[in-house]
Amino acid sequence: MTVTQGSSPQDSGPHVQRRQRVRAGAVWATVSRWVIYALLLFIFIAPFWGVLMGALSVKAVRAGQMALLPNGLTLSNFMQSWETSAPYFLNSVLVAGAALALQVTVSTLAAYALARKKFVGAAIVSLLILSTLMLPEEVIAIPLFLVLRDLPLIHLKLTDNLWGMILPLAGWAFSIFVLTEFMRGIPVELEEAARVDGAGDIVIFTRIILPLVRPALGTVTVFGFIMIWDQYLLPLIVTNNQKLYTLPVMLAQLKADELSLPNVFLATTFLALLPSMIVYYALQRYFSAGLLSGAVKG
Amino acid sequence: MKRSQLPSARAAALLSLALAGTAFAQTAPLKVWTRSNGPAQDTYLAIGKAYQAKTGQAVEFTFAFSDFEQRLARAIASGDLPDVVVNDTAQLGNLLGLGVLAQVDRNKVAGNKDIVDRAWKSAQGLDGKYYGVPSSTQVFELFIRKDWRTKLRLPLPRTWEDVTRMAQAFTTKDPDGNGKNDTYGFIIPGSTTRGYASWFVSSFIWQAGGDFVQPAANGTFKATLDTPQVATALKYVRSFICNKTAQPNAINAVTADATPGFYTGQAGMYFTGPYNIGLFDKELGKDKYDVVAFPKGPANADALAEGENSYIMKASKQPQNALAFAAFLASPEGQKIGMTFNQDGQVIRLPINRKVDAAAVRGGDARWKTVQALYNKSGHAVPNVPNWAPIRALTGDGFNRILARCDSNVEQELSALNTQLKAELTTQKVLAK
Amino acid sequence: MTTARRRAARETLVAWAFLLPALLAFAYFKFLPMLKGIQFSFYKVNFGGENTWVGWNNFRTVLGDPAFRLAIWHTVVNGIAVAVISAAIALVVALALQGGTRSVHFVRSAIFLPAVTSVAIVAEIFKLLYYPSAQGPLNMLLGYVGIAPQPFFSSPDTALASLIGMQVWKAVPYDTAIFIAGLATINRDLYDAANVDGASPWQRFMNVTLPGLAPTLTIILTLAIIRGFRVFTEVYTTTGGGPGGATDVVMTRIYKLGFETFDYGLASAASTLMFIVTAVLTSLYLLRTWKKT
Repeated sequence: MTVTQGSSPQDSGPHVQRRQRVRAGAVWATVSRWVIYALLLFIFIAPFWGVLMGALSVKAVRAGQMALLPNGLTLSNFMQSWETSAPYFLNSVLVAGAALALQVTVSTLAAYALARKKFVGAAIVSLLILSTLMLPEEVIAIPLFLVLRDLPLIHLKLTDNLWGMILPLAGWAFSIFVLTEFMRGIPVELEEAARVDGAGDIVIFTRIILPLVRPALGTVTVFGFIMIWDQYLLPLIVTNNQKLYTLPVMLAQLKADELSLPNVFLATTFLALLPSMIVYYALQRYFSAGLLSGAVKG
Repeated sequence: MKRSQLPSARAAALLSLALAGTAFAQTAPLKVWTRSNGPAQDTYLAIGKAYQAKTGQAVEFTFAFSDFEQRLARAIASGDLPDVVVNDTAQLGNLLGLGVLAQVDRNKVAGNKDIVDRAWKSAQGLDGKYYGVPSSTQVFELFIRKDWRTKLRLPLPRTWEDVTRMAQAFTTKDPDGNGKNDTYGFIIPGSTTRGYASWFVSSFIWQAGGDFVQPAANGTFKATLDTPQVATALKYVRSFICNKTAQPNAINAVTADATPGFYTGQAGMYFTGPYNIGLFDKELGKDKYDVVAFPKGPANADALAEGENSYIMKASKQPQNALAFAAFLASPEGQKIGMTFNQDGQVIRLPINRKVDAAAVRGGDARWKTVQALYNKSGHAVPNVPNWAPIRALTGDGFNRILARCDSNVEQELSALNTQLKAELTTQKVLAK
Repeated sequence: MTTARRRAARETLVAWAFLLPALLAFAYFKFLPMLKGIQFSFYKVNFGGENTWVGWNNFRTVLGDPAFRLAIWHTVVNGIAVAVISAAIALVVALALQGGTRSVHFVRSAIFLPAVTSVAIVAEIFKLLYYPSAQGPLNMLLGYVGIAPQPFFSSPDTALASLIGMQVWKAVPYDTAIFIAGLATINRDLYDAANVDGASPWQRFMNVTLPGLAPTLTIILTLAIIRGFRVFTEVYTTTGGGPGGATDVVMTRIYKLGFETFDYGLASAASTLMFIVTAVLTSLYLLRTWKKT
């Protein structure tokens, strides 16, 4: 749409009026768009402000009040928090890195089977996978612990080591379902053409399907990272050895301790938030890549 | 201030490494679990070191602070129990019910005569036998902002009504002089979580002359929550919430939410344990607050007394050594280290050993003298039913319900709660006919 | 005929091979523990000694407990309300944030922040935002438009609604992101065709966007409701189920039974019941949507 500036001499009355109306409408649309943006930003970002200001404050903010500005600016809460939490941070990074790679791989493989193959039992497998989302984890904690300390049949001990926090996250129904839905959208013709050329499943999976579901891979990577990064129960039951604690377990200790100071706790929560933000903002273009180019197009 | 947990963990690792090479390495290290935050862990490590110097045996600690009971439940389920668990006296029934405690012969504990009888009582099961060695006790006292009180020219409260009036004054008369109507009188942790509401209200029930249960014949109990005394207590606590002199989020507050309210100047009175003294000194200042007994209620001035025991696990392969460690923790030496090693991590609050003086050990701190006197005179432990934990959860829910609505009928709610309590006593097989 | 059959057999084999890693992980870390949990439901569990068989007693106790029945009701209300409200808001937000300009990109990325924030931190933020005094941040805002201070979490009348509000705040950016990803999968040609036909924006939305988003919407609602039924940390870290049981949900009750009073058999029975109910409801819902498509 082009709305030319000014009017040419040939323009007659009604035309000019219409153009002005269009221009007024465009201004109105722009203004309302910016109002919407501002409102969204305020609703979803502003609440973090008070927490950040509390974390930057010298003294603990009075209970029940939100600091609009810090009561004396300091980074010492962050430094103090980092000094304590650095090793737990490292554990969390190790677990998240390994578990995420595993989870995305396992989920993509499973999704390929569910989306692209017709086989006996597909519906039951789908339901079984879905049912894993319904398990009340807090309650299976003790049975899960018993399994982890001696894996049946193969007798592997997954307690008191980081593997115990990694392997159980290999399967995540959410990732599988997102990827399955996306893979279903890929036209069958593409695959059939490749098959005619003699391509096997592995080639089809890696050369055709994977490149086309890249936006979805971005999505499940981000959500998978957040899910893994925030795991509390699993690291809690895997070990009683403080050296193996992850950040959320350490945060819970800090939170439960009425003798710990609120501003140091707030600083630690901010540190804990950073990696999820980084992962999201790094992969975020994959979310919108599809939007811009219509990448997944027949 | 250092709240580091890693140094302790590292120290523990080094400690056990160092020991592996010594002559004492033949005996396996004694495994001990404690519920401790960072600074308290350092204190326990020091106690472990002192114990080792004395006996030659190393101590391997496992520390956890949050979800301690959940970790314990898993350890029990898998049979990976330590030798000793240092935990709340109120957990005795739970642990007994789980069948993991070894009986302790009181007379065989070294220095048992020095341990006060009151403390021994909270290590005693309903059958009269002992299932642990006491390590520490404490009692609730009232913390009052002295500077606020002085500014408003109010004397120390002497009655329940005085506390009500002071809460009113702290709320309405701008005691911090900032010109804003943003202060409150009394901090209440009224959450249902972990039964906080029950834990907090219990002292007031006793002060009003009531109780949760009354012992009857043959070790049975009558449920007594439907008495006028209990109603008086709940109405009293509720009045702070309904008059809006309690901090506004009282009904959902756990102690971690409540405590900052006192030292950040939100409210002027807090009824809590002496373990906060160090924190308040640092964040508020010694001269800014009083530590006193909660004024006498209609019946008395009883206040909740709690403590910790060293529980010896039945599955321990070295019960003698486990008992020796428990005795060491209760000895004057162990008690003193526990009280003084780290200001931020005093794992012994009030000594349970009569040879140790709570105030003298802490450089003659008069406030600890008050706390000790209060414990001796008014300390009141929870009733010795088979298992207190379900009753605390039940009454925590029930009291929270009553405190949540200013128009609810307290007597009616309590009568319903009493029925539930009877059912629980039936489950525990101790309901009086 | 035989080639077709052989091909089908091969397909099945390939499918199971691709599924194997996921199924192994689920078998060990989800199904096995759950089976053990179901087994516990029939016992008075005593971890230190022998478990005692009690048959259906635990189930009877759970279903006979009025507090539990109330908790089930709260769980259902909370789960459905959070799922539907967030999806509706997120759909509007996603449509408003369509397009490729730099400002849209910025807003889209920025508002995702709540979705990457852990529940524990969100709870801390809302305990502060909702602080029930006139000085509480949200109450100050309400004060500017002349609304009296609200008690939020502190009154039995408003606690559940406040809790729903908190979860919606966290879920909207999450749902929005999925909707935007879903919008990207809609065939552009369909829009072009609609434009050629002279369809209005509303017609385009009803005839192209909404049908195109149907799979996304199914994912979002199914997952949200399932998640909603298991709601726990959100409640435990804010109200603990109070005040006066107003926000008690199934999981908070179960948690108390399991880890505060150590009645693990009873806790297992309750969670088994919840699992079965969720599974049945979800299957019914999915069967219906599958039949439709």
